[in-house]
Amino acid sequence: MQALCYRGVNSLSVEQVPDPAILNPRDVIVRVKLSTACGSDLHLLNGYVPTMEKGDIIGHEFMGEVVEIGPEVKKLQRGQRVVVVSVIGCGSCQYCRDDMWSLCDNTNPNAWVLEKAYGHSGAGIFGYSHGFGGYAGCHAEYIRVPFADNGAFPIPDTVSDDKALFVSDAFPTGYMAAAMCAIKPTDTVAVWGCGAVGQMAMRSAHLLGASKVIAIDRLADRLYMAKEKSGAYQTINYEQQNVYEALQDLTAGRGPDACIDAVGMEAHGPGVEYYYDKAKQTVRLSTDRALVLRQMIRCCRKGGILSVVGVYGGVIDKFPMGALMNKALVLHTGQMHGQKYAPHLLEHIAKGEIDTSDLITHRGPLTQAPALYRTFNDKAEACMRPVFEIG
Amino acid sequence: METTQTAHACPALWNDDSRRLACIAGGLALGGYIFTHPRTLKFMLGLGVAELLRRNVPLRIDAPSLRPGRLMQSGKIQAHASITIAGGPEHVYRFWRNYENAPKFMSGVEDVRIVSENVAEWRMRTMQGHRLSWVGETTEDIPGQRIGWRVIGSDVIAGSGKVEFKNGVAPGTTEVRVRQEVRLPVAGGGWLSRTFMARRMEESLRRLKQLIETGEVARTDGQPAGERGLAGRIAHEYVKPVLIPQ
Repeated sequence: MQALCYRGVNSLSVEQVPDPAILNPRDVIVRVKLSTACGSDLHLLNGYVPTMEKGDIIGHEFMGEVVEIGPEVKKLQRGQRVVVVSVIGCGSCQYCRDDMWSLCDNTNPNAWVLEKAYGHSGAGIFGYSHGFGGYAGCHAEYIRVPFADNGAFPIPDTVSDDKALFVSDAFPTGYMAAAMCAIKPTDTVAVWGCGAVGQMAMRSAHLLGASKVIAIDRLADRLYMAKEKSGAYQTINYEQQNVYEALQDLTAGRGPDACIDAVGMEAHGPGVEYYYDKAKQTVRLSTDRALVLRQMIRCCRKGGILSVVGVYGGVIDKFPMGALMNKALVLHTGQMHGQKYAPHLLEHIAKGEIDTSDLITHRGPLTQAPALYRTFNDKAEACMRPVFEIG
Repeated sequence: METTQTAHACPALWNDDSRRLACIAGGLALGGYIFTHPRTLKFMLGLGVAELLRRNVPLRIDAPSLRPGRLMQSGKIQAHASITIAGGPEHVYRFWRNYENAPKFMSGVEDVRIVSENVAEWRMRTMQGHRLSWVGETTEDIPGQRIGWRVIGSDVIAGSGKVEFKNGVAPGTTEVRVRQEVRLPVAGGGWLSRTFMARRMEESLRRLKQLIETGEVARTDGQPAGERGLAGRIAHEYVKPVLIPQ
């Protein structure tokens, strides 16, 4: 089959690789119909995740059709149209049973790597480096899905492929970001980063009853979508406006009740702080750029909530612990627990309460994936999400 | 109790003499290469300086780790590992006590043949690829609580150990703690062999947990991938089997 393989920093190629096989009794094989590039893939591509290897098939956000099932698969059948969440959960460990699927104890065969780095390992993730299990990714004609009864969700007939696709990752990530904010009807929520996850976080914040949502980014097309499609009450272009001052003005000096980081380790900024972080990251004195975290801590109201779903990989510098502590802020974080949210989100889509298909700005066959990844990485041509039409 | 044979099934050509000759030849070849390649020579000298500093400068970045096995005066390596498993102590004990389950989760164990209630013949493959077999005797057996064992009748491997099963803090969970002292035939007692032994125990317990909780062991070997390149092939074929012992 054809697959998109990692060849080194900022280097991808479409290669002929063997078809996947059922390796464990609860596996299924899915014929991939649509897959999409995620912002966190760019951290892998840009060389900030050290456990990538040449030949790895990347990609973790996809939908398709079940074509082969293992002997212990109970819920799925051949021919079913499914969307598969990007984190792999066993469904049996304490964390899965507590609905914290991305913390699964049992699905990372390379758990020792993350134990060395983080103290404990989380779940395996498709196409997301060997530290997260070394699972083959979804930018391929077929993919093996372990513990498929837990992670592959049949798509209702009324929901199109395009609409279902982002239930795989971007939508549950955004939804979880908003859910972690414990939103009350009077709350103002500020969202840093208006990529796909940020847009989903804004729409989810509205679903969960937020009074006002404020969007922060530097790209005009993304801020436009935030305002027009995701219901942002106000947008802030951080290259043209001081974010702290703007947020205090918009909240009459109080600060947002909750702040969402949908940016992560490759944050940008207009001033010296950005170049300082960039320099330290380049020479690996820190691995992640913490601009957004610092801003959120400064801007959030006292006793407010910080919700971090943007991906961080290692260590950051100049973390304002004093402000976090003295303002009594609450910090919630995590990779998304897709298995918890996916059924609920498919219902929202089926009822027409939310549409995700407008995130798709570029399409192409798998052979165009390297070029589309470049466009996505460069944020050129107003690229929000490129989708690969595979099957 | 009858003690039986120990087989050390190394190929006849690979004995102490041939190993020594191969080491000398390899050492000379490597030394020749290093001294004719200045950059490599500098690198090796740098490594030597770093090692001298490490050994002699009282600089410590953390408290000493107890995780790599400890070399005892007897020449045995002592190592311990623990894990929490969703399942009652009786259930986990029964799975472990059925020694025929061992190849499913114990790193390196290829086969276990039950000889009698308390005696079993074990076959395993070492990190270096040697096949070993020995007879193990169960010295303590308290259902749902503890199993103790020792190696009997072997001159290449010696050791003993115990595993304890206790109720975990959360209802229906078990805390499993393993401690063993083993003298290995080929590895010696260096940091690497102690670390690898500890790693094997950790991976074994991880697989035990996966099997009991999910019925299968998570794996990604045998998956499709593109061309790995030379370094990738070496990593996959030679380095990973050591880091993630099967």
